[in-house]
Amino acid sequence: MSLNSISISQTFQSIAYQFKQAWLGIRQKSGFISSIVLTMGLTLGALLCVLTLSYLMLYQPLPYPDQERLYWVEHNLNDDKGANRAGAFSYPGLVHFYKHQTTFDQSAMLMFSKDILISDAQQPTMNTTYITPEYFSLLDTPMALGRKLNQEEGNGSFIPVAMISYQMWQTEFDGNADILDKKLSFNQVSFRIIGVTAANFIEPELAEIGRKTQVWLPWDYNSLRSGYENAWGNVRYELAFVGKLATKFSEAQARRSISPFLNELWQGNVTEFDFYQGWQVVMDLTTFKSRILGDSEQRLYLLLGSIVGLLLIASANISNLFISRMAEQQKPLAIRAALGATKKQLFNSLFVESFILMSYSVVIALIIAWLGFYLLQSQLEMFLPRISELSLNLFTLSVALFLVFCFALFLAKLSSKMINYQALNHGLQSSGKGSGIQVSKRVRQLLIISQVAIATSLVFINLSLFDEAITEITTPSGYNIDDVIAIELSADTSLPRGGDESIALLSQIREQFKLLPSVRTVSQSSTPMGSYTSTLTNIKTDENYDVELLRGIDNKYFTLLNVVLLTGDFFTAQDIISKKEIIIINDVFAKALVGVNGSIDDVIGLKIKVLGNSDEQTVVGVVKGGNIPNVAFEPMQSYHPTWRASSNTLIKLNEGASLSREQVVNAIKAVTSKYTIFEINSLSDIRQQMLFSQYTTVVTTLVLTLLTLFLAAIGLYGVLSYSTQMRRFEIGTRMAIGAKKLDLIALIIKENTRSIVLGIFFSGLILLVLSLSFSAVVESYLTLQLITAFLGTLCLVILISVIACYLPLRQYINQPAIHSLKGSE
Amino acid sequence: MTTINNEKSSKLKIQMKGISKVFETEELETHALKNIDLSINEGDYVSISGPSGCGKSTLLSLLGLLDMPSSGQYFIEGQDVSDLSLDEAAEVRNKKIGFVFQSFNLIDELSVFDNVALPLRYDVERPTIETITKRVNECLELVSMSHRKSHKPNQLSGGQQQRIAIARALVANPAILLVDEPTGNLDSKSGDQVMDVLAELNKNGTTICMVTHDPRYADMASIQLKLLDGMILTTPVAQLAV
Repeated sequence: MSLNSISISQTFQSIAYQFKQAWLGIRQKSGFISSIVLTMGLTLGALLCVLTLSYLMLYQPLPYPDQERLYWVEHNLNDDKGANRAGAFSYPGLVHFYKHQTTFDQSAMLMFSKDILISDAQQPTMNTTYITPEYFSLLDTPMALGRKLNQEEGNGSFIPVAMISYQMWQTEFDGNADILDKKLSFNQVSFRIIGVTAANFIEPELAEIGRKTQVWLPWDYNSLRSGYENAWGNVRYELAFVGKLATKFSEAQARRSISPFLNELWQGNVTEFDFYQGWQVVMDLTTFKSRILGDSEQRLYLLLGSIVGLLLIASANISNLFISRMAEQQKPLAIRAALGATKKQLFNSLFVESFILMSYSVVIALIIAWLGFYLLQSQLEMFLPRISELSLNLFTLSVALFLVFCFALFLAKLSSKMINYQALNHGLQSSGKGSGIQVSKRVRQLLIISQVAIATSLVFINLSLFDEAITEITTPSGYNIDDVIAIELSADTSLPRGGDESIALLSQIREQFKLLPSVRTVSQSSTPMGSYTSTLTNIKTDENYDVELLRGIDNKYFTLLNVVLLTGDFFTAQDIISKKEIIIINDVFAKALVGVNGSIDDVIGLKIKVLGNSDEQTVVGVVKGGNIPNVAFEPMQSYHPTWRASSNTLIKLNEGASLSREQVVNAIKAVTSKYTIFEINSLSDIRQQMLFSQYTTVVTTLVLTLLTLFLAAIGLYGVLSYSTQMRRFEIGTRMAIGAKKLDLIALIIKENTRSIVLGIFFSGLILLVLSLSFSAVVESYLTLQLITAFLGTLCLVILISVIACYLPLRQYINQPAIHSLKGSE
Repeated sequence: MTTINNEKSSKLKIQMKGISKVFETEELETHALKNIDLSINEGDYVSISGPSGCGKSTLLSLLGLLDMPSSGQYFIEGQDVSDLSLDEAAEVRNKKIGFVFQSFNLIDELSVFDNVALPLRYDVERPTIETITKRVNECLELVSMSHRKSHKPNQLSGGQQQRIAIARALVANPAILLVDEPTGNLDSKSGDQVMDVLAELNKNGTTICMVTHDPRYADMASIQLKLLDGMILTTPVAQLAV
């Protein structure tokens, strides 16, 4: 054996010895171990989870070849003042661009849709995407079975084939191996299944976060082909163009090259619309990554900020635990020093000790992170992009290792700083009084201040978000949406659009619905939640208003939803039949029209024009306004009579009654086979879906608040329990001379009040700095409600501080004074 | 039965009847005090001595209501204090008992003045600042420490600290001063000075009960009790014969 290898083996043995000794040293302290491992496990777990998510969303390349060259093309319409008015392609514009562009080596057209699977007895609605075949080579889609669409099945080929997703294969067909060549029927066309995408295929969430295509169908069969092929004036948000940028173009060059591409052509085709006078087409491109990320970055930073705050609290907590432990360790350390241990050797043993503890914590943290991924995937798939790609990966593990090392080093440094090596040598001789290691009062106060400051800031931020979300959830809608079902039907393509036949069939279907025992009222109206913002002009004054438009209301709509009429009239059945150009508006809009001094009665008879519509409409009634989720509080609203061939139906059920999809399917079948259910939802479900992000915020902020309070409580308890323990004799003495329980509780609280108040003050500074540096983001949150959130935060922080003061005292004040005085000689 | 008949006065300050204290752990019961009968009259100077573990400290903590007896009856100035809640005991301690500890037990953060004033701050009757100041000054005078009022305890010598502790014990005009090894942490010169202060106080009427294992100091008391295995050995009546 060479000298070199002897020394290596000695080093190895010495390391092994160190680990063994360190483990034997801490093994006894199960409370110490569990506090540290629990605190750090939870916090590092949350941190690893959010860091992995951030890395995934911000940096991790998408799992497609040349992903940095994959682009989504935007087709913007800017008005004569240059303001962006729409961001979608017209059908002919898209097809023209697809056929003639040269900027992208490979490109595909997409149309996102929902279609009814007629071949299934349940007639479920499926997420479908109509595509040209290049889409799959752009993404290099892996297949579980069969093949992808090929060029022969491209634009204009009309070959009815379909590809289904792995998930659809599993849920709809139980993973049946004979799935290929089976038929799927949509819109009277029977499609032959040619392939199933692989389980690991990740579909880019281009249309919206969390949307998963179940069936891919050839572009030729999209529903816009007939009817929209020349509709240059109609932009459709379900249309999309994606492509791989040719290598000879940089992003900036590509932008310049495509920007004017469709402008002249488009303008030439919309000359008949006065409305589009002076408008321009401006094309732009976005990488897949930023298209998918969208505006989720903000949510991510919020999460990241909260977790970093938690980490700070947790670090303060464990620092405190280590400091206290060092105070307790003075004797063994003194013995080691007396036996000749050098400073470096003491440091090494401390490092090994903290390394072991941090390694345990990280194991727990990885489990927590893994659970966190699962939770995110099951709960937030519609909220954050790319969640399905989340997993413990090399990044997570490297960060975990890095954190273990950093924290072990930090804690060892902190502990070794506590040792006064000179004093240690005297430690054995003296009686132990006054010498050795003690945590100074200043350090203890700093720990309290920092805990309170961070906890107050975090709890406040979380509570204000919580409060805001709760307010949005609990804002009364102004409608009675209980027991109301919204149904949308899908018409057979053979049925002429808007013809007398469909009007008659729909009327019969509504009559059939009325016969169902649970049904009270049937109205040919859209859901009150289906509004969109548009510009309305008061013809008399030529003033414009941004109004929430609700199209498709019949004469029963307002009574069905219990909306109060303030003045004028509701629509009559005759109004709908004779297609009168009339509207009903809400009180908010009416007041805006007449000004502060006017009466809402004055708006009756007023002429209004909707942007893009040449006809004037007369106001016939004013109703009490309602609130729509995710729309500004108390918006201006206008209601427009329904189109007679509209299949949108609202059904009010008898109180507490229910209506199954099957009952509805059968009622329709009893009338005709030309209509099928496209969508059926209760209004309360729709509302809940619209409030999904608010519900998510409620849960997330609540969890973070509780976690923060929990960690801060542990931390404060740790500091105060240590300082109370140090003052045992003093407490005993005070008891001996007549202090009662309350006197002592008051004493401890009074002594810590300064630190707690300072902590709260610093949290105010932190919040001020944060709100100044992110003023643009924060501005919308600055409301009076913050006062409630602030008071709530103060109460919670003060409560945990008081509890943290009381608990350590309990063991002394609830026993005869002699227990605290024992050993004071 | 141990009865102390002091000729100076017959007013009974302390009376214990059949007091026992048993410490129980899972494995064994320790009888620290067995059936103690003890009376102390106004103006007495009693010393309790005995070997380590004989029960001196236990007896002193029972006398001072720092702990509760397992059985027996205890009266301070006629008031039955055998069975008090923790807060009631604190109130009695505050009004009727002055403690002097071996390790002084002064509070380092407080000045000499505030240390001495502390019992008055816990007084339920909340005396006025003037009353407190007057009383604290009187007591500091009694132990000749008026010149150190605004010092912190750790700026003083051990003997001085113990004199401050005595002043603190006196401040609430207690029925009795309970003194635990007052010279244990002091050199002999400071110890002697502290003992002189105690003797002087007793001469002026303060009732004192002192635990000590130092026979030299035990002899300074007018009544000397010896404890062995939780029982009182001597019959002080004999020693009191004039």
